[in-house]
Amino acid sequence: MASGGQIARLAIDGLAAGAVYALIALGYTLVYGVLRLVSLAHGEVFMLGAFGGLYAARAALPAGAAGAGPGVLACIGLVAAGTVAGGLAGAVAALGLERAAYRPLRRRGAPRLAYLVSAVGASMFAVSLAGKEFGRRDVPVPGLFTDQTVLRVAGAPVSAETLAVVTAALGLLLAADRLVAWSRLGRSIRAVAQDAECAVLLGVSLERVIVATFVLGGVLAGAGGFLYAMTFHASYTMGYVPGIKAFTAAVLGGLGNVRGALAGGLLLGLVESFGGYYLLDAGYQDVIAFAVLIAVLLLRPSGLLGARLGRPA
Amino acid sequence: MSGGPDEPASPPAGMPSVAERMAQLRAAGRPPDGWAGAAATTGTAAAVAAADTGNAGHGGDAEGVGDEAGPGRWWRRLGGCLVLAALAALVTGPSGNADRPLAGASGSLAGERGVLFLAAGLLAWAGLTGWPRLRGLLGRPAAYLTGVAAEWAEDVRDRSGSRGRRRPSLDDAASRRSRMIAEAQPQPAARVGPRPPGQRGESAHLVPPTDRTWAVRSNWVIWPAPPVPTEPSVPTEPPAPTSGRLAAGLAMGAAAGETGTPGRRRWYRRPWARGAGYALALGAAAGAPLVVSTTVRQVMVNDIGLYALLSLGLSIVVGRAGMLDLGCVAFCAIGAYTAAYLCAPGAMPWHAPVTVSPLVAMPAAMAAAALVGLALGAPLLRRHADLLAIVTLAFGGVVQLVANNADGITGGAGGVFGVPPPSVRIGGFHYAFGLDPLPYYYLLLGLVVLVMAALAGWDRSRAARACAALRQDEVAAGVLGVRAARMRLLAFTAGAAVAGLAGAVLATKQFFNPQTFSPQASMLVLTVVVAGGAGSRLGAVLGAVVLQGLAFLLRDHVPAADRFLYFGALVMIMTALRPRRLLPARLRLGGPSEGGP
Repeated sequence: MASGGQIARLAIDGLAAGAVYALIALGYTLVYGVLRLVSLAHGEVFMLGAFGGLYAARAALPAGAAGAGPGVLACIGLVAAGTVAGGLAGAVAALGLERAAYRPLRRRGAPRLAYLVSAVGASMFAVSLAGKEFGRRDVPVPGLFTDQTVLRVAGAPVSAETLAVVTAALGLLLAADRLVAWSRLGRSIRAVAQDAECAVLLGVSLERVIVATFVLGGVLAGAGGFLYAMTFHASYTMGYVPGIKAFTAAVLGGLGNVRGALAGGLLLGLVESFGGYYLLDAGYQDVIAFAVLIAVLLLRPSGLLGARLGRPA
Repeated sequence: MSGGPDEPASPPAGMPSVAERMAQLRAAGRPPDGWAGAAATTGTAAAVAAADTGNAGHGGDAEGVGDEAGPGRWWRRLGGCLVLAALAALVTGPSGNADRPLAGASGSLAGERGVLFLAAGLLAWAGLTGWPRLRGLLGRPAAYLTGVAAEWAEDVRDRSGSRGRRRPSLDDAASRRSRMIAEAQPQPAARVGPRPPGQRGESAHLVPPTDRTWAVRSNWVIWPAPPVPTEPSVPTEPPAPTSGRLAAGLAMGAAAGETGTPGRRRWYRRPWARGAGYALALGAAAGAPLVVSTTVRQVMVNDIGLYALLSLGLSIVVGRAGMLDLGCVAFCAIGAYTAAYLCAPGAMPWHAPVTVSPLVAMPAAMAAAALVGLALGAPLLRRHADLLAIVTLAFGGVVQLVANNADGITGGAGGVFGVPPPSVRIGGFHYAFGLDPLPYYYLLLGLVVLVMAALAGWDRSRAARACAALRQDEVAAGVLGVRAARMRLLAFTAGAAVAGLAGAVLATKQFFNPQTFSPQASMLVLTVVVAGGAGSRLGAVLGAVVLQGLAFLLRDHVPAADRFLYFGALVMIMTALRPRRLLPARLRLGGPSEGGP
């Protein structure tokens, strides 16, 4: 058994990963709530957002300061710039996805299968295009932080990078949760999720809600992409594994449930972190998410929190 | 409420009629956007058709290839064309790299190439926008001339019969009179109201008068228009069959899956013609490898034959059960590793206690893949059939990961060497497959024909009708005794079994490693199925031949890594153009069953 410090380190790693999963999972959950559709190309939105944030951070980083490490405020500014740029890129990608893959089908009243197939096509296209334009290698984000410990939690060191990732992700999640709960847009999203026909009759523009849902999911996923790339790296195939894990998180929390996606993401991150350390080889860490997915579908198909998006948040 | 929805049409004064409201919205330059979307969510084909006809005058989006552009909408179509042209330039242009990400884009969009694609985009726009007008312009003189000619011919005929001009007959006069009366009648129209309080005027949404339940639910009143003998609107899709027909099809066992519309049987649909066609195709397929080089034969086995078999398997799941399976290559991997486990003591670290012949291992591989499919599908398809796509996608990744990391069992990333080629020993006759791809080709051809025959049997079976009923209306099918989860599980397991068979053939043919079974390969199989038409047996095979053949022929012009750009675009375009053709004809899905997208 490991020491308390080890447990705290695993918990921090799990939370950092889980916060990013939750960011992506929110997009799945919102789109599923509104359209009853799993957006199979959501991982690619995440990937494109990562590239957008990465190049923005590269452009913003002063060339000489990379080695020395910029000051604290500059660091925060850089992370914010990268996150915003990632969110913007993700929003554009999600908008394009909705426009190209889903809207033509919606206008033709296509069966559900067509949406899935079209999304797979969009996913193939986006991955290959990113590979073609950005190269087919892993691209690291320029070192925004010299890897230093800023604080210790129960004896475990927390690097500035991890702190930035967790803070930014939790802030975004909170903002998204309040947006859905409080704003007029959030109300219309929930109304459509509850009963699309009735919402339309009451004056909600369905097209606008669908577009807004995709854009909201895209912003979150794109920002999450940049935060993920900060910890690891960006590559054209990066959307696949986090996309599936985030979907697992969404199912774990209850597909269509905003709070559920949040809780599911954090929980999945923790389970993976601890399970990967205590139960399995490091190489099999990705299997844990799949096992969780199957277990949830078997034991509690409605997820932990179960509720639909339409319920009052 | 002033009256229930069943009250006959006596609209309260002051309520705008649908036609008036449409005119207002049109004048405001804003289509009733809630309508089309809402109609799509209800899933009734009639509502969709109503929304389509309702919105037809508004031009809609740039993607709408067929519809006319309304005034003020030309720029949207122009933008769409230019974006598509830029995308096409990017796709065909040079690649960038991580350090200079814009190199590819600027190399694609600047210079001659950019001008060329800009011109192509403009040309496409001009063609799309101007063609209807151009057609009218060209058609007018022609119509004039034909009209003149017809009049002249009539005159000649009349004069030849009697003297002077022909007088209008009594029938002509009667029909003209009745037409005039009908035109003079005030057109009854559906009325909508009342508007909810606090509703802004511009965002009022119209309700297709076909769906009365909305009105009841939301306390709105729709005054249905009495049937007016107008010219029928042209439906974009044939109306969805009613559940009555569905019931009849199920109960009486009519061949609901394959047959087209009843009508005169063309000569090429007769049995002898079909038989001759099949024989000809089979002969061509059997003779083709004899006239090509060994390289092409290899391609015909590895890229075409195997993918034909895989896509036949996938077409059971996609085309017949209407589900999306993105893990078919994972089942292929299971079949391949099973064959390696059973046939070769030295191929993998883990092997069977007894070594069997590869031909015996093939059914075993099928069984293993089917078992895994059953285990994966059973928990999933009972309640969450709509999640099958992403779960199988995850499953594909997991299988690849395990095969890659389990060094002690599968041999890990190094792959599997030395699975013996099949050999036949019947009495004194002995034949062993070697390095030559030719016998593998015939083996695969035989298997493909076998699977096609089995699928033909499936398509005439009760299971096929049950699947068709499920695709069309799950609730109605359930009422008629179709067990949804069981039928889906059957189809999924059958698809997995065929993929496992393909895996066993792959194992005996060549070296393989975990990279062979990447999720991209699954997507390629899906592309083949979509390109060939998901419900079609021959389509799956032809799709493999055409797509993989093109990929082989164009291998010097298109980098292998860029293929998926074209495949992805092909899938999207084919789905967008003919979304309903993904499912086989006749008994097909009328729309998402419960408030779908």
